[in-house]
Amino acid sequence: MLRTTASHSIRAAKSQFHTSARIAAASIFRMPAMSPTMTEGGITAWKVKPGESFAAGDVLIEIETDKATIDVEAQDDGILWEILANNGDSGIPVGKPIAYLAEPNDDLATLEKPPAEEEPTREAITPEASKPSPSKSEPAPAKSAPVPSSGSVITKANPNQKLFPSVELLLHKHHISPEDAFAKIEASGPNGRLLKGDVLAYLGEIQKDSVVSVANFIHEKQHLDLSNIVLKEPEASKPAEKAADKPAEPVKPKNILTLKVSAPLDVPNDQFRYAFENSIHSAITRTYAARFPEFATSPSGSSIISNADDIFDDLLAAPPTKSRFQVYDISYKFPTSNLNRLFAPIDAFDDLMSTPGKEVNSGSGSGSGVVDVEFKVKFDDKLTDSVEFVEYFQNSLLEQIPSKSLNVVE
Amino acid sequence: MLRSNIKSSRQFNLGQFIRFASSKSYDVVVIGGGPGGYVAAIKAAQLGFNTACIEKRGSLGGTCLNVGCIPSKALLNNSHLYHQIQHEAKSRGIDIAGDVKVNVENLQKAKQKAVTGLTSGVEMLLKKNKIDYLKGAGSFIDEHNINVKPLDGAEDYSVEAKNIIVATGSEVTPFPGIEIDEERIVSSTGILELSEVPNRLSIIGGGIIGLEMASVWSRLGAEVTIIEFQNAIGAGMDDEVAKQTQKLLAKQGLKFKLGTKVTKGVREGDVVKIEVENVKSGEKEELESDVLLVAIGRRPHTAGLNFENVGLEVDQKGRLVIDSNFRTKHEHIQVIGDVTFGPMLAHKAEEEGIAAAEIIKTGYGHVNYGNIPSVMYTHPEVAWVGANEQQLKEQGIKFKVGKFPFIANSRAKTNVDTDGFVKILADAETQRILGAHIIGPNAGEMIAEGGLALEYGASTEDVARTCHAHPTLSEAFKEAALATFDKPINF
Repeated sequence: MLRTTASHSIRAAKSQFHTSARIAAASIFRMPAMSPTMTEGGITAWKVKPGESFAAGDVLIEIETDKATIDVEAQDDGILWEILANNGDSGIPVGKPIAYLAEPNDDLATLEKPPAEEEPTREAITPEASKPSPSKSEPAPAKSAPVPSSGSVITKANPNQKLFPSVELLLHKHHISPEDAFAKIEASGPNGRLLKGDVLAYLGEIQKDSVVSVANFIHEKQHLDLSNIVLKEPEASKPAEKAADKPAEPVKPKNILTLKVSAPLDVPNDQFRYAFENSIHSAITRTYAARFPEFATSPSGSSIISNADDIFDDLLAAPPTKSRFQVYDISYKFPTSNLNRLFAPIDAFDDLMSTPGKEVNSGSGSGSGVVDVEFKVKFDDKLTDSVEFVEYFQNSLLEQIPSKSLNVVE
Repeated sequence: MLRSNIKSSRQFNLGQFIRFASSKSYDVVVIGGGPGGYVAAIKAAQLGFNTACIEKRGSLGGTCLNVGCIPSKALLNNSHLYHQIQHEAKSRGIDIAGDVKVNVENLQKAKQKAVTGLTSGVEMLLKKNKIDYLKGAGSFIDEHNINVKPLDGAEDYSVEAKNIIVATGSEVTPFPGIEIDEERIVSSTGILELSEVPNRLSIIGGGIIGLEMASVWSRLGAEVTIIEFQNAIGAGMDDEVAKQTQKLLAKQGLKFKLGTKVTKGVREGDVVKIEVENVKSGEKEELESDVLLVAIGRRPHTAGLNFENVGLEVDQKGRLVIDSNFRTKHEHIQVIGDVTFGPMLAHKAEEEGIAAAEIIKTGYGHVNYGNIPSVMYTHPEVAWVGANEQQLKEQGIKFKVGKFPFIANSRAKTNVDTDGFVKILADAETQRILGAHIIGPNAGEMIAEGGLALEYGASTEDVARTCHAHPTLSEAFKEAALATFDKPINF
């Protein structure tokens, strides 16, 4: 089982939270859909106990899907009121209630439980992409007036808002203080914003349903319609085509060498890596310096930039600034023993200056391991002297590292 | 023990060495440097991710900056200026000695200057945000590794990515049976590059691209015919707005053949022969044109991406399948912009780019698909946001219409630029703004007010009670809002 530790916060879960934070009753936490293809999941572990509060960002639960184990984080503060599905339960369909959540200040003794059986709209819980049911054409939503259901579109008014001019005037006209308005009037605007319609409905001047239906309409339009995606049928000729399309085993380019070297490991891994890479820098510098003495003192070569074009490069020696070869993809295979821990921390400088044999690892049977290093050298085969450069580099590197041979890997 | 010589290694260009030595690995790799991709890359970098952006065009900015929105706006603006000088200078009190002529070569140079300035600006932005700009074509090797085929013909290399954002954009939808040679039969790219004004220009498609290009070349002297299969122009416009726009454009000399399908289009020498058929009557007609523009839409661009390699799916229209967080089957691979669902608009892709990067960082990102403006930069401009009348009727929402014509707006009147109106749709009971539709000078700028109102859930009264500067065109917006629940003052 792959374990994803990166914290995903799942839209489905999140929208539940947003809801929970704003309706008076407890809210239902449903099995979230962690991927478009997920239909059911298992509960590896609840990370919060019933009755405990959690803060936004806390990991609430670890959910196991067919692909991964994923931590689900809370987006808002709240209390885990009651757990409906326990650790180890598996095969829980996406959307099935798994817990009741309450708001941070809710009194659990008096809190009302919403009916857990209520089927959630699939849309709210599953990324729409997972519904490739083209045959089942959904009835066009509401040719007639939509049935208003005060879902998540109606929330508690956010007390930290600058009132719209229309709202301010209406409240003033009816002698309602802003504080009263925030406490008594439910908001249909984004983030708990009180709209003119909300106040009109509160005053009984219009039907509450009108507010809900327009809010629902706006809410629906806010999301991409990802329902009824009809996937492209794989073409009949696909298998044959695929075989042809399949990129042939990449031809090994002639100007890239993979080199391998083994060396006894008698220092901590990091130090070895540091020293080895230093050796490579040094070898590169020496290589250029050997051919272009001026390079050693003027590594950038900025004073001798030549704009000779490539044809001339072939005929004449290219300028020192022209890169002959590059070293990259250095990978290390360190011995698996935890040799590292045996070393006392050593100052890198001391270490580099020390003579062989003076190591501290006389301790418990390390029998110094062997490290394998592999790296690639890519040279510019358009330049006549590149190969020469690479050879010089190899020799120079060998002089600096505790190894006798540098092997070319086929 | 290694016999390493620290001294000499310090003389070497360490940065360069490190770049070569470390196998390239990033937190975020964005495939595509268009408005969606480069914005996603910048946002990701700003959020602290080590980011690379792969682009194969050779310059950043995608279709929008290189062969779309920006070059077309350069041509639109300058051709409008020419048209005004030609037709209005005298009445505005400007006498011009001698002929006013258009110089297409310089017109194109001005366009190119705008494009180059902006694309190099984007490149600078990437640099400033320390994003690696990888010039080449990206394709999936596996779920975390992307092959880059450099533009300069160098060796392919691969980069490793913890997160991948696919933003490969769209391409011109070809018209079955009509071969685009970008000379006589052109796409939206070729029409921007014409080196002379054609005498006759025919355009298949009465959408935004078709109508904008019709305006450009008609102002410069071409006789333009627009052939549209539907019975209305301006796909997605409010019906009333579409009709009014068509009237205004016809007044400028554009010819419309609506409800007409093209059955054939072939180049014969220097002319293009086009056969059309009336959809209803079946009546056939043959047209001749110097240039034919095929502008029937765009389709997702995924060629060479090798998305099949990692099991990504496309729908029947070739769009990469995502969930509501832009995620594909693989959580760490997101898709944004034209190559996936939603309207094919640069600003929609930008919003998604930001949201996608934020989702990687925090798990949450915001794009309000109910509030994405559309603008057509003809003259007058046409702009809209939110719902139109057809949609509201279909949904059974009772609404009120508030309309205010620019002929009654002091600034428009002073400018002698009075075509068009502002139309606001508001819920009948709550007066919540549901949509705004504008035909008029600078409609594209004014629509932002509608977007802001929609985003905050404002009622028309709130807009009407907001002070608007006088004399400005935006007063028309305020008056239209007023008209939904009360009487306008100046009409």
